[in-house]
Order: sequence, then structure tokens, then C-alpha cells
Amino acid sequence: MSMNMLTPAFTVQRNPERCIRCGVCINQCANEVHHMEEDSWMWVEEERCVGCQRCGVLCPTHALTITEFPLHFRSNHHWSSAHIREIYAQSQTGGVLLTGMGNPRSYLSYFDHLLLNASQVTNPSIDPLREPMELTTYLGNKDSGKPDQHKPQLQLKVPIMFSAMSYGAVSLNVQKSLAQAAQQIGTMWNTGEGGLHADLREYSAHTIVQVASGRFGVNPDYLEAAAAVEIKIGQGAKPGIGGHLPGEKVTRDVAQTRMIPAWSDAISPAPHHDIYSIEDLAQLIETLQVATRYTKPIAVKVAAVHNIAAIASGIVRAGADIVVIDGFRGATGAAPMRIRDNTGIPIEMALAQVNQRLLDEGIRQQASLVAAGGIRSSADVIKAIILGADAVYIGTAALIALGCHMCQSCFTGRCNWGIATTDPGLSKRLNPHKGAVMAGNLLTAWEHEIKEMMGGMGINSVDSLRGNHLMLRGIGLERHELELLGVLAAGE
Amino acid sequence: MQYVIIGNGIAAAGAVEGIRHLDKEGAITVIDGERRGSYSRPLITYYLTGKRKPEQMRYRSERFFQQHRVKVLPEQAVKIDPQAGQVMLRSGQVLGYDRLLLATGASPVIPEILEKNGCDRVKTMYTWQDAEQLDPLIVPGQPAVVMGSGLIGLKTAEALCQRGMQITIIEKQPQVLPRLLSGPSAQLVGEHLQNNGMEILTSREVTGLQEDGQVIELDNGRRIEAQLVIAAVGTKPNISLAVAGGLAADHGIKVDSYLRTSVANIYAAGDVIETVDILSGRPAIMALLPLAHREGFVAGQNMAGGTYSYPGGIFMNSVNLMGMNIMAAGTPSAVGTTWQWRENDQYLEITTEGSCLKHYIALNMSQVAGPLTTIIERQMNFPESFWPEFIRQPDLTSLPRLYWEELREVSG
Amino acid sequence: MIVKVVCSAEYCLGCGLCRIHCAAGHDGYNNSILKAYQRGTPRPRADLVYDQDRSWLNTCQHCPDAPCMNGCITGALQQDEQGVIYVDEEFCVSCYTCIMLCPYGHIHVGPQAVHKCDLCRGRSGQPACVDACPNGALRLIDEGESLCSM
Repeated sequence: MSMNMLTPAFTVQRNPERCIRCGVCINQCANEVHHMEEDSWMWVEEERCVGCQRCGVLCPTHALTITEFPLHFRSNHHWSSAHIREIYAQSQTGGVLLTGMGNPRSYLSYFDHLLLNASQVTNPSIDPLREPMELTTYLGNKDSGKPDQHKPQLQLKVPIMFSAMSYGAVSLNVQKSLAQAAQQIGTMWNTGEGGLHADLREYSAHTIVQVASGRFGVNPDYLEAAAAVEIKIGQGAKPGIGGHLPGEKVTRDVAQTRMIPAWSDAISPAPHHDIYSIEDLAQLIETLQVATRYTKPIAVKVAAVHNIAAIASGIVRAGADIVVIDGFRGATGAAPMRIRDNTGIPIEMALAQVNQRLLDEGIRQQASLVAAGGIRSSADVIKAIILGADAVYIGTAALIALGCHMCQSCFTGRCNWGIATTDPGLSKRLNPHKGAVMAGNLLTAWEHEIKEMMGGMGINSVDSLRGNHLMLRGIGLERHELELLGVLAAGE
Repeated sequence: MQYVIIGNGIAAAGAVEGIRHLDKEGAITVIDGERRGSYSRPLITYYLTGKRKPEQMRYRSERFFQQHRVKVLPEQAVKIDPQAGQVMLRSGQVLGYDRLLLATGASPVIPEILEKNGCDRVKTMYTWQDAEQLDPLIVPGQPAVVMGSGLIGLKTAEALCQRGMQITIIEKQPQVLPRLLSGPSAQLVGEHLQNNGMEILTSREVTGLQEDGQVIELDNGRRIEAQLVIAAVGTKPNISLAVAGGLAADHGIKVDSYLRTSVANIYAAGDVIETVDILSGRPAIMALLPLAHREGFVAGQNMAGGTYSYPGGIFMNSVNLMGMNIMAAGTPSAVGTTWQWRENDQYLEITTEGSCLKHYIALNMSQVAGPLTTIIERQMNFPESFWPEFIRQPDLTSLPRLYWEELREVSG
Repeated sequence: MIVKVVCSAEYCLGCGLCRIHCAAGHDGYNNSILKAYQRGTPRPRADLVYDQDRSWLNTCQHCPDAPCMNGCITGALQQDEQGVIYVDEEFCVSCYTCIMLCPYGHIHVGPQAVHKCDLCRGRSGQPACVDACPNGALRLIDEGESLCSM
């Protein structure tokens, strides 16, 4: 005898006055939720619904409403319905709970407690439509020691890049969209740890390749075909553990790009097995610099964890040109839920602390700082820069621009939007020509908004924004939080 | 350049388009023997039922002739003089030409039985005038006999039936539409017509007409009363002008692949010519509207200095009878393997020789007919295993990818 | 002047939204999908064709020297100045010769006359199907290009 104590997560309501039985919901749902009998009677299997909203969005008459299934327990602040349902799932399977995308829990988002300044009376505002606003950003080691020599730099037209998302976690069409948009806008995209597909070589000048613990796809051509190389120590979604691409997603094409056998799980170990100390990291950085003949910046990406300031300082001293810090809101294609939701620290805190430590040690100019992990809007971008970042990476926001509806089912490989899947039938749902336009539009829109906000502050260059803590005030924060962030309270 | 076209039907209109394609200046004169303007002959039965009003009978409008600067003479040509390069009209007028097109069409064959005892009650249905003259003679409830179950016979029978007459069709061959359909398909069509109120007598001949055509005698002795008798036993090309003018002609006017006749500067097109059935490679009279237009167009272009060749055509027909759509294309006499498919009122029959499609008959199956026509016309090659697979579900999706790719090659 | 809608089989999802909007944009439904599908008889002008894992919309090619137009027994099929081939319903007698001649099998039987793509003449902006495609698989072109990129 068995009983599934879990009711469906979502309920699908069909408005009979609007449903025209066109069948679009049926042919667009990869989870086979919708059905139609020969006499045109329609029915749903709600247990299969993941709440991705594909049918709701595409229904031509908006006849469908997808909402959370109302399984209401007696009100209990300690035992939330999520905790209860998760125990049901585990008691039925004995398994580790997997999930996708970033930490959804209601921890404080410090960005939402930081307010920007604006000019009034003195230090007048600047009109971005009349005055040039400089957003161009250079990432790299600014401290060469010699007046006429400089270390390799990345030039970005806007201080926003597309974050690392591997081919295998996302479809090739996602990478094509982001690479093309990066090229059009004049910024960078990141291959993630899945190697660089041959079709993307043409975007070399805008590509950052990743060397992660599994070393997938790393060969001399890979390093050549890049503007910069990023050593990935960790990511905000799952600090301390490695990566896991389920075998179902490892198609022949993915396997070839990663240089591994097809249909077998692609596991990246937790540590790089040749990096056990900061000196080992310095050695790898130098190896990559030699391999690329010192022509490309070498970045190191870590998750934001406790003592991140000390870690960052060590990375800079180890010779990294760029330090990437990924906060605990960073997303993933697949991770154990408990690690994603309970590990790491917010990027705002990490950024403020790292920036201050590097300034205190007099080494801030030796590496650029890139912040990542749940950047949601141009306001978040500006605040991150004010807290000390040279630029930001966006991952989740980019995928949402391409159609992601945050259903957190990436690890199943059945992404209905053609994003977190390698199934060719699903991948074709994202036309990269359209995707490039959408991702490019996002950056263009944010660029304009940043200029507006900067103009409002009376600042016309992003260099004047960077680390300029006086441009922020905290609201609703405790005194120690304000101190850690290095900002005053609103009213002060 | 003086262009003269004898005839104002389909081929004539095509020729006007063809000439003007290459020559915007030359003078074009069309001799309209029927004196009706350009009208579409298949519509005359719709005229009888009222489905087409007189202003809806046109094939090409007056504006067409104005825009192309064509002079239309409501006259009859009585003689052509190739030496002098002239055409004589009944009125006595003489037209000089640099290029002449004979598009004189065809006329109904009169059955022997009528030639022996000709009578007024037996009519042919071929021209608009025939339809106008028939109109007042149609009396609902009265019996009518149609001799011949070809396309003209059946369309006429349909019109008379819709006007309320009791129809009996007499067909010499064992099936209706003998030159178009196979045995099984003819059976289905015959049943459909009978279910719609027509009596069909196959393998029967009319042997006598009594009482001024009011009673028809058949070869089996049966006598049928008829208030009206229509003879629709075939048509033959109007070659008399051509023959008198010294042009080579057999059953139809002989033309080469540029639609030139045996006499310089004289071309011919439409139902009057003997053309080539490209499937068999043999000469044939192919009196089909789409071919007539094409022939006229190519002839017109060549008259204006072009060198376009016309290789011939394939037999093809589409007709609706009492709500049933019948389409057929290809060589009716193809020998090879025949495949059939049937579902409810839909029927498809295809005949292949090896891997080549030679013929199809489609009843109420119009959707897939177009590609099948193209496959026959271009003699496309598919693997032999394709056709038995296709016939199990004959629709667009069952066509192989290489069909669409071939189209793409051709259309660029 | 060559005009037509081309469909990329690489990005066509076979969802059918193109056909739904096509039907709603014709026959007097004035772009109301509910009017067309709940209370009317929707007649999309083009079919979706499937071939193993691919699909595409079988649009009219508006062929120059179109066989349908040349074979029409009443001249009801005409080509306008833009190159669009359309049916003058007043003159169509539903003989289906055009259907028999179309190499693409595009033309359909309709209640009063035959139906075919008219490139949404009389509608401002892009044809309805092009706007409706959620994946940018349909494009209006007006120069020589192929039927569909397979």
C-alpha cells in the first residue's frame, strides 16, 4: 500500500468560455500536462505541472490560469508548508532534494535596503540626453609598475556581462543568443564550464572561457578563442561542492564540446585537485598567463563565503587580474536544495568588505572586482558599483530576458522555454536571433537607466561611481549592517 | 508589327499576355467569331443554373483588352491567305498580318444518328449561345436525355438536374467519364450521380429518334421519352480555316515545339492544335483550359520574337459534379501498379510505373492533388518503396522531404 | 517583385498559433480569435506540414507566372501590383483547377470560393502569421529567396 502525501504543486484552470481547443497548450508542454480526447474533451494531469507558465503565455485566448495548488496546513511559522512537503518527498524517495535557479528564501536583499542619492541645488544633475555619460569599463590589473606598459584589459561598453552558464546546463541557442548580444552591445559572455562550441568561435573577442575543476573542454584552442580566462573555484549557488550535469543532458554535441563520453554524468569535483593552497592557485594563474602569452586577463571566480575579504586578498596577491565574487543568490542548473538555500553570504556584504580590504592593503588597483549573484535590475547594478564593483555579471536576469519563468525545474532537462535543456526538440523553442535581440534589449535598457540614475546623482562617469559609498544610504538596516556595508543610514 | 489572333477564347487571351510580355508597341487585333467577348466556356452550364450571371461569364475583362491595347473585332474569319499575309473576314474586310495565331478552338461532334435524322429537339451544349437557346426549353419535371457521359455531358446533366428535369444519361462505354476515370472510380462517381437523382445507362447506344426526338430508342429496345435531348459525344478541332490555307493538320493543326504551324509566321494554340502528351511522348489533342492558356502565352511570346519552347502537357482535369470533386491527371492508359485509398467519401487511386507516378484519380481529395500533379509533370523519381507507404496516409505530410527540396531548387 | 512569407523549419515549433491568427484575421472576424473559434468557422489559409522532427507552415509562394493563376478558368485568381496572388471571390466557381495545379498544395476548398494566403492584404503591418509566431520562424520577404530553409 502506498500513498502519495504530496498534492500537485500547481493547479491548472481552463476557462471554458475562452478555450478554443486549439491544442497549443498540449503541443507546447514538455511535461505532458494537457490532454485532449477525440471528442475534443480536454483534461489535465496537474501532478506534472512545474509552473513554468509556457501554456499560460502561449494560449491565444489566455484561457489558462496556473496557480499554486492550495494545500493549506494550519498556520505555523516554524513548520512552513515547504518544510512539510519536502519531508513528504524525502520520506517517499530517500533522495537528496534537487533544485534549479537561485536561492528563493526570504533572506534580506540588501539592495532593497539601499537608496541612491540625487542632486538638488548644489552639484547639479546632468542630463544624459545632452551630455556624454561614460560607462566604458576596463577590467584587468591597473598596476603594471611601469609607466609605458600595461597588463591586458577587457573593454566593456557597459559594466554588465553575461554570467557563466555552461552548454549542457543551458542550450546552445542560449549561448548563441548571449554571445551575439554581447558582441552587438560591446561586452562579454562566459562559456561556463562546458567548453566552447565550434559555432561560437566567431564571438571570440567577446568570450570569457572558464577553467573549472572538471577542466571540461580545456585545450589550447579553447584558451586561444577567448578574450579572458576565468578559473572557477566556486559559484554562489553551491559553494564548496562541484558541478553535476545529469547524463540525460549530455548529448553527443555536449559531450564533444566537453571532451567527455556521451550520456554519462558530467561531474566536476569540489576542489580543483591541483589547487590545495593559495600558492597552487598562483601557479595555475601563471600557467594560464604563459599559455596565453600574457595577452589575456586571468580571472578567478569564488563564491561569497565567510572570510571572503581574506580570500579575495589572497587571490589578488596570487596574480589574478580579475576577481569575481558570486553571492548566495547566484543561480544554477542543478544543485542540492539545502546547499543552495543555506550556504554563502549576500554579494552586497561580500563586495563592501572585499573592496575595503583591498583598499586598506593598497592592492585594489591590481585586480578588477566583478560582482554576481541575483542582480535583478539596473538599480542593483548601480548599487553594486557604488559598493565597489568594477562590473557585474548577470545570469538569472539574462535567462529571464530569454523567457525563463523561474519554475526551478532546470535539473530535469525538460525546460519548456528551450533554455535549460539540451533536448533538440525543446532547444529550438529559443530562436537565437530573437534571443540575441531580447538579451541585447535588456542591456540597452539598463544602460539607459544607469545613465539616468547617474545623471540624477550629478555623475557622468562610472569611474566616479565606483566605491563612492557616500552615494548610498541604508534604510531599515541595523547599525552593524550599515557599518559592514560602509554606508550611512537614510537621514544621516 | 501587326498581330492578328483568330479566336477570342483562352488561348487568345494567353497570347495577348505573351505578346505584350515582349512587345508593348505592336498592334494586336483579335477576331471574335462568337461575338461574345472573352468568356470562359466551362461556365455555360452555370449560366443555365443561374450560378453565373451574364456579367460573371467573362474570362478576361474589357479592361484587360484596353490595358493591353487590343482591338477586338466581332467578326468571323472565312479565309486565310498566307502568301499575301492576309485574313479575310465575312464582312469582306481584309486584315494584313505579320504574325497570325489560329486559336479557333473546337466544335461538338454530331452523332451519326443525328446526321441521319437531324431534328431540332436535339441540342449541343458548347457555346454560350447554345446555353441561351437551351434556357427557355428547360421545363422542371420533364425528362431529358444526355448522350455521352464525358465532362460536357455530365456538367450539362448536372445543370438540367438542378433545374428540376429528370435526367437519363446514355453512355456507349461501360463506365461514366470513360477517358478520365478507371473502373473503380467511375463506379463511385456513377453511384454518386445516381444518388443525386440521375439515371445512368452505360454500355448503351441511341439507335433511333422518334416523333421528332420526343422518344429515344436504345439498342436494347428500351424507349425513353424526352422533352429535351443533349448530344455531348465529343468535340473536334476547328481546322477548316487552317486546312484551306494549306497548313498541315491531322486531327488538329500540327505545330512544332515553338507552336509554329507548317506555314511561316502562322502559329496555333489551344483546343485546335495537336500537341504532345509528354508522358507518352506521342501526339495528342489535349483540349484542356490550363494548357490552352500556356500554349497561347508561349505562342504569343514567340510571335513577338521569343524562342520559348512548349514541350506539351499532361492530361489533367478538375470538375465538381453534384458536390463531388473529381480530379485526375496523367496518362489514363498507364500500365503499372495501382494503389488505392479510401475513407468515407474520399478516394485516391495512383498508378506508378517503377518509381514514377503516371496517373492519379482523386475524389474529394483535393489537398494532395497539387503535389501529385507536379510529381507527374516533372516525372520525379522516388524510391519504389515510397508509394505503398504514401498511399496508407496520402496527405502533404506523407510527401518526402526530397519533394520539398526539389521545389526549393526550382523556385530558387 | 517577389513577396511571400517564408518559414524556417529550424525554428518552427508546430504550435499552430500562426494558423489561429490567420483565421481570426480573415472572413470578417476582425482579429478576434474568440469570435472566429467560439462562434464562427475559422479557416486558416495555410497548413502545417510535418516531416519527422521538423515542421513548417506551407505558405503561398505567390509565384511569378503562377500555375494557379494561369490555369484559373474564370480569371478569378489575380496578381496585384505588389505581387500578391489573391482570389476575387465574386468570380471563383470552385472548380478547383488551381488546387490541382499548385505544386505546394497550398490552396484550400472554402465555402463560397477557394481560400489561399493573400498576404493579409487590407491589414496594416506584418501578416498575421508573422506577428503571431512566438519563435520568429516566419518572415515576410520581398525578394528572391527559397521556399523554406530546411
